[in-house]
Amino acid sequence: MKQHSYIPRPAKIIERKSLSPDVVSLRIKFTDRKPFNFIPGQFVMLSVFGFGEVPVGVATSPKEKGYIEVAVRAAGLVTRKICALEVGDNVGVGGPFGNGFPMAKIKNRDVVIITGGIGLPPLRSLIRHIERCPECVKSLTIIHGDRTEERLLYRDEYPEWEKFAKFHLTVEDCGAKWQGCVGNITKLFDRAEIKRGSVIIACGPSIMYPAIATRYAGKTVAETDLYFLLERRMKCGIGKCQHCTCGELYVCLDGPLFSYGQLKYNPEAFK
Amino acid sequence: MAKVIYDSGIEDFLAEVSAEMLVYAPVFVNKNYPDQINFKLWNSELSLALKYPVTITPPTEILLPSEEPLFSFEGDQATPAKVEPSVIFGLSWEDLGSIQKLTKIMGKPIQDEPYQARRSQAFIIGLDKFSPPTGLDFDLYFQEFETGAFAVTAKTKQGKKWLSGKHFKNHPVKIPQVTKKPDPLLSDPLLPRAIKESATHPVWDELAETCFGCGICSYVCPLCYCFETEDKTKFGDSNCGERCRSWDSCMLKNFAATSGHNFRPELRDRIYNWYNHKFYRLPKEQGFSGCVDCNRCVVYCPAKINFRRVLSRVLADYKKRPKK
Repeated sequence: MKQHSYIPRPAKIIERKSLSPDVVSLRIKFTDRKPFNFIPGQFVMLSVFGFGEVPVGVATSPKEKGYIEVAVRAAGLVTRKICALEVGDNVGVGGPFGNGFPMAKIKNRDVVIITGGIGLPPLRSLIRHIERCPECVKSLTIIHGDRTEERLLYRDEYPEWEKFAKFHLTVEDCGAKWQGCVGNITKLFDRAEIKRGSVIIACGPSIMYPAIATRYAGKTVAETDLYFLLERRMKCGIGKCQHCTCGELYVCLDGPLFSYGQLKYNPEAFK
Repeated sequence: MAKVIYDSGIEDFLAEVSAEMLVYAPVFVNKNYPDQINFKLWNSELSLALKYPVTITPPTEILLPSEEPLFSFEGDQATPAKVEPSVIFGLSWEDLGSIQKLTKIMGKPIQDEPYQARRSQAFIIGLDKFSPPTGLDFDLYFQEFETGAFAVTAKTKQGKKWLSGKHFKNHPVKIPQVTKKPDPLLSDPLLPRAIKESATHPVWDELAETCFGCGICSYVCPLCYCFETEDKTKFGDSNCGERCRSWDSCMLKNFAATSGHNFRPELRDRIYNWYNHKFYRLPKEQGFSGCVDCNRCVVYCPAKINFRRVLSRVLADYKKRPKK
């Protein structure tokens, strides 16, 4: 009996880091010795036999060979189990699924990444890709916000990112030592100078998206150059199970990345 | 000259087939309820039901079971579930159509391999009063041209092999042509657009007042195929078990919910999504409607919702809309 796409590839955890009180980063190595090719922005189904599987964006660049990293927030039964895994534990990886970022389109363009909270890991794939391939874009600006200082993900990497990107950071609630911006992410929109003709890619809570669209779509950037990553429940990744439908779109097949032009008349897009 | 079989000979034919493969056929679920018929794994002790308005669950259940293991696992080793050859006997025109449509849905744009593995090992035998449907796949088709008498047509190699067997007799009779006319409501070319543009129509709010959101319309529909997956383990050992998929329903409250957010919390939106999928999205994605007019959802809806009345109203209002 032949293998099928619902059977994940065998893999092992080779590194585990706690990124915040409830988010864990896992470095995963495939044990079947076959290459894993993907585009930044694609997602995988991360599986623990006996518990289930969850969709999660790849957080590393395709140029990093031999492993992938993902960040998982302990929220439900499966994600709590994943966050409790240790180095050496087995996992399964299905995919990659979805469309990924428009790599050809962003070549020689000013690219702006806007992320909120757990929206950062999938975009970290693009950040790390640009770090390894600076000629892929003209410039990179990162605008990131989270609720509190201790929730900020990948904090130890920010100094590296500042070497090749303009980096703007805010938290909504901070301690006495925090010297950066305080407030929600829209506060950074006034500070970050987004050039006309840029490509914006945003990932975060969907409540953030209308604010971005109102400010930039059709003004600073074309509707087709403003992208949103959508999150939905997913069970198959191949457009069958129906859980991820959003109006007439399948987030797993047509997305998870959509241009604002694709979403603006979709009543289910920003729910 | 037509090949003919009589109702008294059908069980003998199926008994012969069942020596080689699993046979699923419509049988009485409970002797006390003669109208309660379902497709079951048949053996000669079960009475066949050759005349019935519609089975409770659709025959697509045999190809996409209400619960099936996708694979079993032990430690980090996964083994795909096995599939056995089978025959599905006694499918009406509508049910033949549903299997054909579901096979296309499960094949495009990406193959659902567990479904296709089952379908590729399943033989299909239709049975209805109409002439053999030209556009539908089957191996054999039984047309009841007189009470208890069936003219049989083969379409495939396996079908022809069966038809050459002892159970089918040559009969010098002219079989009447009986065609099924397409339903004018379901084949109205404006229906997909009417449904798409009805997202804000009051009918969905009104239905949400009546509908229980129980999902029975999905479970009895041959073209509802949404599913959930779940790992089932042996008691006390999470290393050993099966990843199963089971029917879900987009009518249920948590269908689109993640652990942090419900993307479709309102019943009216879930009802609209059910109609939009069948009557707009499937025509757009696959080129055909997600309804074969089998009537199961009308028969089994506890709130007595009739999709035809809903579609008629939405379509009529669409046709009356002011032209831009």
